[in-house]
Amino acid sequence: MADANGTLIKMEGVKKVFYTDEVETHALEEIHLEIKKGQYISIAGPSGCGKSTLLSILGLLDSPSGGSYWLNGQPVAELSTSERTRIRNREIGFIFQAFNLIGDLTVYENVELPLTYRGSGAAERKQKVQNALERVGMAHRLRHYPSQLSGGQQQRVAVARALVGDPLILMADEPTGNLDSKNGEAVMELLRDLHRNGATICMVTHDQRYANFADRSIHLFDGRITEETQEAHASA
Amino acid sequence: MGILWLDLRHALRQLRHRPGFTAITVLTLALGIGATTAIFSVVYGVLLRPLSYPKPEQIVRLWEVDPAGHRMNFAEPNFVDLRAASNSFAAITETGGDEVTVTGGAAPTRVNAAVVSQDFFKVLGVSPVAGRGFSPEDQRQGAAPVLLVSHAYWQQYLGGAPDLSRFKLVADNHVFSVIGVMPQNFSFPDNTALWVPRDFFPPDTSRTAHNWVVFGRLTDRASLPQARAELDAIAHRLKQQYGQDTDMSAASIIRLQDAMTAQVRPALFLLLGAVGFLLLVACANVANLLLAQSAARQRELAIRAALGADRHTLVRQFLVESFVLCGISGALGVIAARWGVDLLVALAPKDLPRLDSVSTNLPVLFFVLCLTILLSVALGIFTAVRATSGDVREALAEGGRQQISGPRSQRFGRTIVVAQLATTMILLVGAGLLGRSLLRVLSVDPGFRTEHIVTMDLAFPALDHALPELPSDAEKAARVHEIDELFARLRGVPGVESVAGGDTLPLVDNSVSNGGFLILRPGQQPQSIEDFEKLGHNPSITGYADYCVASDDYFRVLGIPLLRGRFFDGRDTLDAPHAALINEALARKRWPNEDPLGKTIEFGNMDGDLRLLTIVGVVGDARNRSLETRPDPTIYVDYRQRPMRTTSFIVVVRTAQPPASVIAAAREILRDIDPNLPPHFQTFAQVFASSLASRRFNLMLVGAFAAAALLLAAAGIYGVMAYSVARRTRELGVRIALGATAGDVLRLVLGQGLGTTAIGVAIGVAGSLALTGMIRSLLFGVSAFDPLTLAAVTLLLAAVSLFACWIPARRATRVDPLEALRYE
Ligand SMILES: Nc1ncnc2c1ncn2[C@@H]1O[C@H](COP(=O)(O)OP(=O)(O)OP(=O)(O)O)[C@@H](O)[C@H]1O
Ligand SMILES: [Mg+2]
Repeated sequence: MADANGTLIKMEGVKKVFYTDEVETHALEEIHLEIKKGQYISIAGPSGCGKSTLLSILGLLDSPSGGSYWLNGQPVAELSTSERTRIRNREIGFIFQAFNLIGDLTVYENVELPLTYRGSGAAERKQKVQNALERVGMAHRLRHYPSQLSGGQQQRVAVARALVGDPLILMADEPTGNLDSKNGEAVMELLRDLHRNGATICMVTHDQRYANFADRSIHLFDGRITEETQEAHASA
Repeated sequence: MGILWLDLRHALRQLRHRPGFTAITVLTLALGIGATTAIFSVVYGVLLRPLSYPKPEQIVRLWEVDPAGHRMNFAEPNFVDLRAASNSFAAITETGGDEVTVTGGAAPTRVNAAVVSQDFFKVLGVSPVAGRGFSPEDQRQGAAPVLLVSHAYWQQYLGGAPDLSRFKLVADNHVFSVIGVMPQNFSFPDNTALWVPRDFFPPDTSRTAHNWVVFGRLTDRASLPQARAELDAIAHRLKQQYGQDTDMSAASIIRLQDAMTAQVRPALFLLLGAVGFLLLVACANVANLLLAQSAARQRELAIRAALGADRHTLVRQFLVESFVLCGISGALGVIAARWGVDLLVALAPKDLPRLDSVSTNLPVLFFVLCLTILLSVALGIFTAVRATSGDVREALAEGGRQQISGPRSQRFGRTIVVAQLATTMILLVGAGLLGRSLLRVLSVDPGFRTEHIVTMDLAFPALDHALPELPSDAEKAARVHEIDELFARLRGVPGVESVAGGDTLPLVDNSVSNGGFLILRPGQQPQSIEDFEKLGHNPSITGYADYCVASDDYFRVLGIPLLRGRFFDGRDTLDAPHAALINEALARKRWPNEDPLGKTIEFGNMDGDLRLLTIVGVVGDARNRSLETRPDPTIYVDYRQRPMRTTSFIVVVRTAQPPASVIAAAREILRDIDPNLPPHFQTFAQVFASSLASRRFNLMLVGAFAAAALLLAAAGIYGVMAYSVARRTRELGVRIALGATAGDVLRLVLGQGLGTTAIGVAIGVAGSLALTGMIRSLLFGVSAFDPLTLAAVTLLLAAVSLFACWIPARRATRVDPLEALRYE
């Protein structure tokens, strides 16, 4: 059903409840969402409204408490842990607010990581890593350690790491949150370029300027989608 | 002073606020300090503590050295010549002695009696506390027999009575007057209870009868090397003068204390080294705990630094804390050491010399104090430097950085664990080698059996007391009759299968005598010992063998097989041609291509009976001296024909019954036959076990230290890995988010643990190869570089360390990938 009309992600009535010390937090309520291949969608809303929670469920880092979620036509609820791990590795690319590069690994090794976990051959890895780093303009820093890079450069490397495995979709949680505006804009430019070249992107941000980079903006409030806007320059 | 007091209060509060950390640290250190102190107490008491005689460093022991370099006891004429010629000694003395049965005290008993020449007490610097010492009048042949008694004998058998003149003690058929009591705890040499003047007995004339142990006291001016040079010169001169008639061509001289402890020195140093390693392993754990603690206290340190504490102040704070920790541990360690010493003394093999001087005395406490201070300073400086170095500032800044700290930041903790594993490896290899040695010893075929045998050790009065005059046939017949009667009645005890006896029992200390024999044809029998010695100059007819007196069933009871000919039997009476059995080793050595049966040998130097012995049988080899030495050539004679050497006689009873009932019956029978003959009972299995006692003791201790080190090292690597996993939660979350499977994570963490282990093992193997050579003298049947031990220990250490890493690795696989999204 999904591929026919290009639907990559479909959520119906997804809920998420956290139980902590007898307090129930309804982080998400009745989320209905469809994301098509090639879309660039931004998720915005006030702090604590459930943006990260939604992204973590979309990215298979967490499971919903209720409702249904199909990824690429496959019902996610039925997946085993190892299948979820496999899908995270092959079909989803993550970009984090805190970059999350591993300090003991070089730029090259950080980017290589998803391919390593996939079990790709060395030659293939080398080629793909090189490619991904070229796409983010960091190919000249292969042997550097993250601590030797600026924040913007680190996030570019993180984007390369998300890209390297040719995922179906990139998930970014406030990718500019730790960057100054100049570096932030550079990263957003990078994402827009990727999008132009066909990448599907799902990005959390509360910066309205950056939300405008996307085709579609979703607004969350108290765990519900309150508003959805389509940008004029909707994708092809 | 005020600041120190503040620091101290702060340190105590710190420790109180972290009771878990404090308890583990203190217990670990106390274990290390306690074990080290206990072993040091033994090493100090046995090896280092000065002998309790005046100027003990002047007291020396001397040996003859033959041209082949073998050390031997002195022959009396050589001693006499040496005494006359030497200027290095303020006093020099010879002693001999044996276990004797003494009657005349409260009960018959067996004690060691020392026969001592004139200057014995001058050498030691000891004199009687009651009565008088030997006068010149006492010290001549034919004098009225007198003796001195030990304080213990006086108390136990003479009731501590001040009037000594009442007592007459009978030993070896002489009636002695008691003239004095030696000081409490004086029992030199070898637990002696009675001292008798040498000159009471006729002098020895042979320069090859090595019967005398010689001690001397150097003059204030003489040094040991000087004395050695002088003695060598004298020995050399005597050799030139007497040629073949003397064995001595040089002399050996060693401080008495060193001579007494030479045997046990390697084992004690091994134990000290082993426990030192255990202490190092314990300290490594503590260092890692402290390191983790100081990491957790980075904020506190940062605040203190911000408030103006300079590095000195911080270092001092750490030192004070370390002193408090080590101080408490040291105090607990002393308590642990006191128990440890009691335990060690109880478990120690009986042949460990000077065991009575082992205690937690002042020098030992001083040792603990030094050790504690050393540890305090080392650990304090170590943590202070680590905690206040740039490293930590970097770590402090780490939180603000955007990349995740990885395992490299724990390089230091891991280095400690590597050292710990290497040390543990060395200990394990040591224990493994000792264990394999014990197994090898146990798997040796001793040539006899040990089960179901009760031994009864007797000390008859000497028959050769009047040498060179031989005992009369009537005296000999009486002894044979007494033994025969004992045998007959023991055979009647229910459950007894067979009874035999001999002057030698395998594995019993010092029970084997040996000497040179001659292979002669009938008719060549020498008429005197002088003739014997002349014939002995012809090497083609001489041999060297152990000489054992045995009864006919001796071989059946001990399971020593008959290979050719016959055992002793009813034919071998006092008047019949004297029969001998030889062991296979002698047959192979002396008659490799001939039938030894019917050959005649002359071994009269052993007991004065110059009648030839006819070989009537060949028996299997038995490891008489120890399981670890090859059987020596041995000649057995029949007690009915050669009863002279039955002074020490061991009856062996084969029975399937519980030993206790047989012992009770035998005690009864003996009391009936000869109430003045106190027996010692043991099962042969006990004899066998105690011959392995020191080996077991060393193995047990080194094994215990190695096991403790293994536990500590496992805890160490567990701690480091768990800490690392805890600190890497975020990194692991990212990896899992990026698609790392549980297997990937497990491999990552275990790989790191195993990497650490591999380095530790590699260094440990190198260390073992370097160090095990030092314990070669304690090994048996296994090379110091035994590959099997190394392989087994490597596997064990790898398995334990893998398991220790597996627990945190499992935890790592359960890290939530959501950690990756967390941002603080
Ligand atoms: N693991 C958790 N356990 C309990 N409650 C949680 C957990 N994670 C999130 N929540 C709660 O769920 C709600 C949504 O959190 P979420 O992190 O999705 O917010 P957010 O929109 O990403 O906020 P921000 O803009 O500050 O990042 C919050 O009320 C939060 O406290
Ligand atoms: Mg968020």
